[in-house]
Amino acid sequence: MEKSIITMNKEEWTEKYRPTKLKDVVGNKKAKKQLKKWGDQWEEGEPNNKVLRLVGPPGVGKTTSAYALAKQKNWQVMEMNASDKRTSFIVKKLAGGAAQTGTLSDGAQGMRLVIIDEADNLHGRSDRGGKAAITKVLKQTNQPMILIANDEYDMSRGMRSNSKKIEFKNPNQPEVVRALQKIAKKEGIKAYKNALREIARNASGDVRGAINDLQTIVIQLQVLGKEKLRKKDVTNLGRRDRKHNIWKMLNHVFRKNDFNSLKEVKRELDPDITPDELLHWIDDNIPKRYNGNDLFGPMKHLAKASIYLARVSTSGNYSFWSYASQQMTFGVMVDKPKKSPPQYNGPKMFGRLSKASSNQQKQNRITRKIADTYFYSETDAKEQIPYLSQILENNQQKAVELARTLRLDEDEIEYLGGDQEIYQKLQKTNEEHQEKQENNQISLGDFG
Amino acid sequence: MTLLVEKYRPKGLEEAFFHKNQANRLKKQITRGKLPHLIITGQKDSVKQNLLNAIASTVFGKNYKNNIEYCSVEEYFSTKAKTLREHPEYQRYFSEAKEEKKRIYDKYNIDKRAGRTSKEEAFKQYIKSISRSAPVGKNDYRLFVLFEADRLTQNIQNSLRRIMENYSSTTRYIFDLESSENLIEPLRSRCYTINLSKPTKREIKKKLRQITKEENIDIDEDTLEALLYVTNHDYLDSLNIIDVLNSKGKQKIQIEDIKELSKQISLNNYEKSIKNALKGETKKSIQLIDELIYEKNIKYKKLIEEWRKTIHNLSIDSETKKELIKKLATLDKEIQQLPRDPNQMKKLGRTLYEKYLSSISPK
Ligand SMILES: Nc1ncnc2c1ncn2[C@@H]1O[C@H](COP(=O)(O)OP(=O)(O)OP(=O)(O)O)[C@@H](O)[C@H]1O
Ligand SMILES: [Mg+2]
Repeated sequence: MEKSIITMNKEEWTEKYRPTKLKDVVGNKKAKKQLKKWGDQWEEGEPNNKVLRLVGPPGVGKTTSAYALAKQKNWQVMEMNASDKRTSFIVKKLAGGAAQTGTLSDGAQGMRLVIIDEADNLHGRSDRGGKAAITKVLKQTNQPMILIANDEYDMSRGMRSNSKKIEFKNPNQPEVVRALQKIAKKEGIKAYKNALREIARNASGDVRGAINDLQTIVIQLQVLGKEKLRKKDVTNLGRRDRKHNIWKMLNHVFRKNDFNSLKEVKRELDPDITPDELLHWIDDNIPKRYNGNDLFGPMKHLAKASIYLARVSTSGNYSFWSYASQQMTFGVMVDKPKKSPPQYNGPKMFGRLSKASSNQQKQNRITRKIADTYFYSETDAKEQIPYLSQILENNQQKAVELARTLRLDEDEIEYLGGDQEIYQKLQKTNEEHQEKQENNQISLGDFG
Repeated sequence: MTLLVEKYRPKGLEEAFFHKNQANRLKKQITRGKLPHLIITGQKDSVKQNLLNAIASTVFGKNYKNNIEYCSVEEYFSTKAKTLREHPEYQRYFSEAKEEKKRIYDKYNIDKRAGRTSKEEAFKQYIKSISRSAPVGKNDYRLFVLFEADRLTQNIQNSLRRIMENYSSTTRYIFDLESSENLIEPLRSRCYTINLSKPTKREIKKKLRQITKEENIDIDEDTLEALLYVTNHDYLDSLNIIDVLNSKGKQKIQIEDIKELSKQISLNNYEKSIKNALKGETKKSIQLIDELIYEKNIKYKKLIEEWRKTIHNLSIDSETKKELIKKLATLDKEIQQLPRDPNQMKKLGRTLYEKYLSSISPK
């Protein structure tokens, strides 16, 4: 029923194929081994280190591994985000009472793993009470806990000294290729190995980035009707140091408030990216946690930036570029509701636009036919499409007749959600019609 | 079997069930032998296309298609030049315009190459070619309908002044638009203007009642009210919904069916997005609009129109309502500043509606 006009929002492969077993997390052999050992220790009683901290760059499997371990050990998981105000409340409460089995495991059977993600971004750095409370909980806990962070030096000292470090590193190129191959296979995509190698090389160990790139390229290819992914299709990918700089920029915009260092990052990045593109990086990586009126501060500036970009394109005057790019960086930084880690996705705008244009082509053909048949303007004809598609999906007899009246072809019938039978019936009645006409001619001939 | 909206179109001006006065007057003019050039104004929900259909049938009879030409100016100008150059209908005008330019350069001995034909030049050529062609059969004239004529450029409008005079004996022009202000004065003075308002709720209900009776569809009073509420009293949308539900084999239409269907065709995305934003669920609300813009290819103009209607119908205090409308006007203005190229519009417009939706979210 859903399939008709809305081709379902494509799921993100990074989520769809997030490994659920440690052995499927590529690279990071040492880290995985340490993690597993720690997990095993819990089965033999309380280990010396009850708290781990997983530290490493974005998109290499930290969060994934923590969850995979819990799953393998059959532990329940309670995830908290350090930058969420509630976390510090919960933790304080825990610290007050016993951070022990009772509260943390919620009375449930078995173990419960507490994951504190983004531990380098504890809500309100000045929240001393919160910090102290967390430290206390880390000291007291008799349940497994994992802290996760990109940058351990942004963690509080209490967190560092009360946890054992496991370092995550960027997997090497063949390892990333392995992850890509798996996904390509599951998606039924024919991809040449050198193409995947190129994507991996470009991503320099950022697995999430590589998977996102793969998905973007595949969508592009599908729009173009190509079946195989070749090395030459892997172009236009941002270079990895460029990407690195973009992330640095996003971090500065959303996570910090330092005018001078943002200026520095921006200066490094500017030659590599047009404000047009940067806009979409920022727009699509607004922190998950902003919602409601929180979004207004950043959006105000992004909207202004869009207007400047529009002026560039209508007037050809490129001096508006610098206004645009200042709005979207300094503007957003200053007017964000709170510090919060950005998301790390490539911009989705390209995918949106290509979906729009492939839909548009099909819609246009149908619209023109409706307009021609019924003496409608194309704009009015477009309004008819959703209804038409409902009828085609639900009433075969009527569908066949409408398809004939509108002279719809097989593709168009399918786009409107009709099934193949409609087209077959349509052809059959067409043939009958023709036969009848031929018969008529013959009989006329006989008598004439 | 066809769509109900099609089946129940008046097959002549005497059958018109909305805008009867205007239809009568036109009928008289036609029987006296002369249909003037027309400007027909009205919003989308004024059901203009029914009146146009009635005019064409009255003038030419059943096979009116041979003698009318129509095009959507809005669609033409929001299509990329590259696409138009390969468009089955418009392609030839690009080359014809170029030939014509060459001829003129030759004639006056101008040492210049004809260069690439612009969308505007090709469209002028199109208008000229259509205006020149002779009527078919025993008719004295043809009808040339320009839908969404608001989008005609000044340049084209000016060239129409002469064209209309030159071919007025064989071609009658009908300009369809929302408000005649967007046409230059000289064109307005050449035409007879008909303003169509939205049919009243009573008229719509009466007609829908008649149709459901004839089609043997059972719909009770409350359900009909609900239907009109969901569609903002839009006659065509209402009739289409009845049509779909009937095609699904429903003899008796229930309120639940209507709700379910309006969800399926994203008719309620407009309302839901505003309601979500007002609840602080801004991201959900943005997603609903992304779906309309990037999957259904809804135009921003329609988005704003629908939001305006939605806001009018919301049960919230009038201060908040005023605020929402005011901010919507700002959004409208901002969108006007975007480049006309549809791709660019889609690319840059997103942050604008994101800003709007977050601006109406509670602090
Ligand atoms: N080592 C890996 N093996 C397989 N897939 C991976 C690996 N690392 C990352 N991925 C893919 O990338 C996605 C994101 O990974 P994950 O959430 O574990 O990153 P992270 O290290 O926690 O990054 P961040 O610091 O940004 O939170 C996963 O859903 C998975 O699809
Ligand atoms: Mg993570």
